Amino acid sequence: MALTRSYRDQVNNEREYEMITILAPETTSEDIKVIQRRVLDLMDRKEGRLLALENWGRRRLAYTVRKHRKGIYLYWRFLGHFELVAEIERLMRMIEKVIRYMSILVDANVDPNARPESVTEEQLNQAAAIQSFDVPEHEDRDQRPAETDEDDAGEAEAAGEESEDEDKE
Amino acid sequence: MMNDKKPRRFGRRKVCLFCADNTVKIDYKNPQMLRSFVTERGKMIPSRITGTCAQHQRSLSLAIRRSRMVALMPFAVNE
Repeated sequence: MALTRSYRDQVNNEREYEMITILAPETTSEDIKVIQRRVLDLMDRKEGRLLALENWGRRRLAYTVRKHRKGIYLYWRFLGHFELVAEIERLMRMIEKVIRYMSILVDANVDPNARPESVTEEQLNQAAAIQSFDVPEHEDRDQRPAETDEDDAGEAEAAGEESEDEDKE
Repeated sequence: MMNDKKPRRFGRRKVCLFCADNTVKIDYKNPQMLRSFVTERGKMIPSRITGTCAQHQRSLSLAIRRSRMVALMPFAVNE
């Protein structure tokens, strides 16, 4: 691809990004592993490097996203170029389990050698394990009991309609 | 007349929280901290009320907007 790179990107410089992806609450550890592998493949191809991957567990969303009230948060930090980010975002749009993603440039001018650490196998496995934080913030407490039954019904519906949403996009 | 205006009262000068304490970082990943800068309805509180300085208010508003994007904070809270 004939993409113009900025001068900054030509020298031994990389950009550091972080990305948050929200996965549908019914996502399994296996699904997360698949997503991990696909992202890591992309990073290999585009010469990026994953610095950190965290799983923040299944959390309550502040508002419904694609009819989900809860979501599994994954937090990624990586080095790479903008092409890599574009590719990863494209991938995220294709994976149906991903209900929301946001990538942010942390630092545009990073020497890759200054960031020696990269993600270990163990961290990857940890990130695949899903924990539930169903009892998070104090203010939700009064609403919670009524919600548990509703939740399941809402999710089942949402699962059926999700594929339609994809087509429209 | 010159003295028609009500006398203005000056209270204690507010200090920007982030200038006063540089251990507090503005981060969109920390909704707990950002929550004190929005109303119960989820709207941002102007800096003239919180006393945040312009620079920090700018990064604060960016953080709140980012936080809303990833559903860590609400856009609006309806009763």
